[in-house]
Amino acid sequence: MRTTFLNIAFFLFCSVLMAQEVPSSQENIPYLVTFGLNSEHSWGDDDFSQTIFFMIPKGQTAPIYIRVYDPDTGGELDETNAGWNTKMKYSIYGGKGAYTDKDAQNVNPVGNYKSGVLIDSRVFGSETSTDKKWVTFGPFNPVLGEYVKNMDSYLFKLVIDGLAGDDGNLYKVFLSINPNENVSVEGANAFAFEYSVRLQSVANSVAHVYPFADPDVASFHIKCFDFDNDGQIKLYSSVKNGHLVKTNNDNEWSESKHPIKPEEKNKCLDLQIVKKGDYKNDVVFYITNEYDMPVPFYAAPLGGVPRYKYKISISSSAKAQK
Amino acid sequence: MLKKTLVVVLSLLQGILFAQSFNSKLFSNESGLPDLYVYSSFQDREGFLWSATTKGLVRFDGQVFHKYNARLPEGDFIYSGVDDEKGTLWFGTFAGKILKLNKKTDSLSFHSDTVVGSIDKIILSTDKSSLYFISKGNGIALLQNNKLAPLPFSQIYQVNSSIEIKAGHLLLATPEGLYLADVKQNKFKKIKGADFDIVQLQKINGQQRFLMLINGKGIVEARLDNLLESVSITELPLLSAFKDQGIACFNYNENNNLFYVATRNENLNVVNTFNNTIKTFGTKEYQAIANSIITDKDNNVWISTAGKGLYRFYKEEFDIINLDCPVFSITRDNAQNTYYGTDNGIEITNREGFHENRITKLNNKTLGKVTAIYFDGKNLWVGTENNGLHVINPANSEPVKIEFSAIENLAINSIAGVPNQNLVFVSTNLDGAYIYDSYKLKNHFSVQNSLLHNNVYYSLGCKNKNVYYATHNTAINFSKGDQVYEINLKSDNLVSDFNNFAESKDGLLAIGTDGDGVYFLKDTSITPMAANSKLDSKYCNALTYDKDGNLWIALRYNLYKYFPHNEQLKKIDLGLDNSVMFNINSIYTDKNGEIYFGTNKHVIKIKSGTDEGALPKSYIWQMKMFDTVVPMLPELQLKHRKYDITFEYSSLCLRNSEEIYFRYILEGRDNKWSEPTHSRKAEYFNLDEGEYTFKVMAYNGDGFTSNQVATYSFVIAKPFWKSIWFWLLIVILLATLVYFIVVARTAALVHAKARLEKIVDEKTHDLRLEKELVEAKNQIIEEQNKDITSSITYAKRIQEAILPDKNLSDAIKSQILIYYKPKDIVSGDFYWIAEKNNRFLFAACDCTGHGVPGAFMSMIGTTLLNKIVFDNDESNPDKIIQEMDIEVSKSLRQEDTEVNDGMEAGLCSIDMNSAEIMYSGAKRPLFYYRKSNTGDYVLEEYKADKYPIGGFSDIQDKIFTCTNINGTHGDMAYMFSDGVIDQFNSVNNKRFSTKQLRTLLEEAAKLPIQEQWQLIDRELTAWKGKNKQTDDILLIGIRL
Repeated sequence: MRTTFLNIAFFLFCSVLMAQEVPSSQENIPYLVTFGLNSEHSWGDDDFSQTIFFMIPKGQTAPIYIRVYDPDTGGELDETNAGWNTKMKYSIYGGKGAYTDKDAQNVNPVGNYKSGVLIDSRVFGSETSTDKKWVTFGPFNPVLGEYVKNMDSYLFKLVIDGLAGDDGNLYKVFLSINPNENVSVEGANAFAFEYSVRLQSVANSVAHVYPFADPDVASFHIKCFDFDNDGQIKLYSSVKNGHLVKTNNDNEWSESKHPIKPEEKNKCLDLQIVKKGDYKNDVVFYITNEYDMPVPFYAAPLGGVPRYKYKISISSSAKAQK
Repeated sequence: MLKKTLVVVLSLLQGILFAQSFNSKLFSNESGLPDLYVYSSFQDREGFLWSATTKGLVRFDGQVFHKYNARLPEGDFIYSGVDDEKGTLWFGTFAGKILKLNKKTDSLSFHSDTVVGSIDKIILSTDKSSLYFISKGNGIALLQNNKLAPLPFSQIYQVNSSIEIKAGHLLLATPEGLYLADVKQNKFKKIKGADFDIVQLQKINGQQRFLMLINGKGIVEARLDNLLESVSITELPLLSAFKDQGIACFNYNENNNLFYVATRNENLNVVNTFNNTIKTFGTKEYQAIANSIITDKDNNVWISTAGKGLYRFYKEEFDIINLDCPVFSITRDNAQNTYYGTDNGIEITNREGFHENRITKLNNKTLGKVTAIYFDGKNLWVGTENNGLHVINPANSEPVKIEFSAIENLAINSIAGVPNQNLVFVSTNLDGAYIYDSYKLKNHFSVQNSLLHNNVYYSLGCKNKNVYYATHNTAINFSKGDQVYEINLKSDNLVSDFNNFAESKDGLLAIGTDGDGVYFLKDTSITPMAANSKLDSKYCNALTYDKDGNLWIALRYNLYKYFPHNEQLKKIDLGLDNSVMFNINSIYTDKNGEIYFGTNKHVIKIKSGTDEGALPKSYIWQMKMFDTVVPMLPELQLKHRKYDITFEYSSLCLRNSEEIYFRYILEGRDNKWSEPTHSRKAEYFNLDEGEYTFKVMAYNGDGFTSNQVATYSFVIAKPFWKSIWFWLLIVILLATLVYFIVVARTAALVHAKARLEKIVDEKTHDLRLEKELVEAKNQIIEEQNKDITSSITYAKRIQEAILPDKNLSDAIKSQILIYYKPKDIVSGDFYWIAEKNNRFLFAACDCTGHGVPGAFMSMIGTTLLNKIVFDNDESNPDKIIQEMDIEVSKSLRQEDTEVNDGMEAGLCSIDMNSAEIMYSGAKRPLFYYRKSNTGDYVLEEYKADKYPIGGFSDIQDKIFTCTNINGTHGDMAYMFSDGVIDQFNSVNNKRFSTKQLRTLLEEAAKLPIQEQWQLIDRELTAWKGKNKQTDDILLIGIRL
């Protein structure tokens, strides 16, 4: 059912979808973050794994590329912990089950979360050759992805696993039609069911995450990990004007329930993280519905960035009444 | 000494001089490739190239992509393939399905087992007994004895690549390093020293040697230790240049020491490890990211790309050796060092092609322009334009003593020799030619001893021991021993000089001229090359035969290859600009058949000769009937009709396939092979009955063929009416038909017979019944007849009883003839005789009817005669008859009844004494024969009255007359019934007639009464013959 409405929404907004950068510029999140397998969860990663899906419209025949910025764990950008020792594996899956497998649509890397056919995979350590550079995977024939009929798209899955080490890998990815530069695929989009991200190290900066409310969802259960009480998290929509989301401290989970109103359905909501401090902070977010099923975050919000619609009541003044 | 003789070594330059030429071609949709995403390719044992694309599997023969439909579900496609020892082709799909090609039906079929994940590669085990199916994400599965079993250990890690390093031992390249799997023991261990993200492995010659592509590190050479525990890695510095570009994949061809390295920046790099050169292709010749690279049997390199199609690369058959100076002469020594005579000494390269040395001086003499250079097997001969001839040991540049004579300071045009005979021929510019034998001057030929000109461009010693001299003259000189001979070309057109010679294996001498093309000399016969007119210039600067027997002709600006077997001339496209000019006689052919041409800018090295394996092989890949593809079944038998058949054929040749042409024949239809054609199909229309064999041969652009003939035979059956079986069938059918007709007729006859028998039986039965009835009736009738006959017989007795003969006296009896023959038992005729008053009365009467009715009437007549004569006492015949007439009518009441019976009668009354006769007749005459004096009897015939006694009569008043006749004793008087004259004979059915009777009685009258009776009886009996008696017969006569 969820995919059905994803499909509907996709069709509604695909003509304007052009951003396949994850995290996208609209999200104001500088990097995704994945730590090595030997890291502490308290550093900001609950599972040392990240999964991102790319939707390629069926009409796309030219090859696509998945580009990763700074795939290594070393150099200026990444988070070291007493010397670089981390290996990070990037695996791209397509074929049957890459998306439709139940375990693929989970927030945790358990079960057959690497479902589908492994198309390409590379392991990066701390080599400098890729530091702060875009590394290209592909080209991939779009038909190598899993064709999901009710999305009318081929889906690829990028799984980033921290194989070893205790360093933090900061990176971002881009779905491109060019191997050497980031040129988005027309009509494509990207989404994830969980975000492990590095927030901006700027006080009062606002990061956005765009969860999609399908027509059946009754409520969002927003889960947040290791926020370090670094500000506020608020939920916005056309009818929600900054509903506060429960936050947490270091190495803690928090959960808050937010009913979804009919006006919010079939659209993305705007989860805003307003940072308090100017220090680095790596956090994990995911949202489930009332049945504990994960809700996708879209890089480009379906239906556009939601705006709260203020209610304006007009009434005659007392003087006028007189 | 070394310092004295040597010459100056200017420097040891390590620069590479080779510029290898490569041919590249992209096969895309326009070429017939169904899709630009090509995941992998491999070459099967027959030589076909198989490529897996998203839109289907294709087989490529160099020209045509033949697509196979695997009937895979959407989203799945063939990803990899291999052929096994038996030539069976195996394929793996993106979704893990295994397919096998059935070569007989040319179709793909699924194996019952599948692999989890994609089948990225299939490897045939070294013992050829099993196949490994490699899935990057799901490990390895082993197919053995047609059973597929996953290797459990392989599923632990992602397998990027795998090779079987020795039987049953797989090396697995994983992102975590290198692992060794002992397939039989099911053991798995990590190899020490290779803790890298390994992307690709390639096995190379040598014990446990292989190449590894390591992510971020590039391509390295590795060797497993004997214990298979650890690996030692050797960096390949030249290849490390690409690691930062990201190597997508690579392939190393040990045959030509070439690495093909495809990088992620869409470049292809060809690294020659023999001379450590790198050639990078990008943008123009190649721009793609490769999925895989393979090398085929002919050293073509096939690059399967993602989204760009299929690239083919091969090293051209020629290289440019760039010396940056003109090269006038070339030779090689035993160590494979190559010597190039330039305008400033000698350039030397080593066997790898590196520039090794440069000699500008010898014996303290500046060499200047080195016009000739020749290695005789031991020493190097160097001829210069202005500084004479030098012979040195190439190893140390020591001079070798030879008898120089005046040659020492001459301008040398060329030096050639016959190494195994220690003969060296030095051609000079002004002093003819010198022949050295073992470094001693043997001959010197010049105009002083009959040489036509002292400017000799080239001298060649041939197999026939002749030495030919190319001079500035229109005739050819040759020497044999000490004598010089001349061959006049006898060509009016030939006015130019001769430049050079080349001798073929069979002793044909090719002659290059300076302005008239090429000529051939065999013995003393000279002929121009047939293709001279096709040369774009007639100035032949260099000539040589290659190992295939083809003649290479370097003109000033172009290079040609002449094929004596078909007299074809082919221009060789070297891609050179117009400023490159071949130098005269600057040519050298090494032991490998490689030909070096010196030009004004560099040296061109050409690999001559054709590898047998590279020759095209024809095959018939499709047959159409009426434009519909039909399977090419063995021993195809077609039903009779007229067919339009098209054969589509092609050739298997993965290089220069566009030049291939074909000749074909359809035996059974064509009388001869077709003319050469580039078409790849042959159409035949209205093929009728017969046995046919289609044959096709492929020729490469040079006209060479592998002599392999692709054939396909089929039969179009005769029409059924021409077959033996048909006629046999007809015969059988006819026989059967006849049989059934016979059977049917027999059955019908039997049936009819039975029916008839039944009818007959029934009829017989009926007849029997009728017979019985008839018999009964007959019996009755018989009895009745018997009774009747008895009655009639009795009546006869009565009738006879009343006949008068008993009452007659014997005397009278003797005088009376009575011939009385009743037709039946009783008679209607009767006679009556009586004596009264001395008169003798007799009558012959014929009653109507015969038999019983007649008898009745006779009874009436007799009774009436007796009554009238005796009771009424009437003696006159007329009265008697008159009375009888009345009485008969009365008796039969003829006036009242229908009874019409009556009688005819003649009655005579004879006076016994006077012989007076009174006659009266009712329709019965009297024949009276009067005896004449001569004794003969003369007939006196007395007519009777014309009405009968009794019966109806129109005459109301019958008056019978009486005739008195005076008779004489001895005369005979006859009366008779009409039964006498009405008797028919059996011959002509004529009546006896009155005439015959008159004659008969005339004779009879002469005879005694008894004899008369016999005569009459005899005559009448004879007359009657077999006929029945017509009527009652009565003849009565009386002799007076």
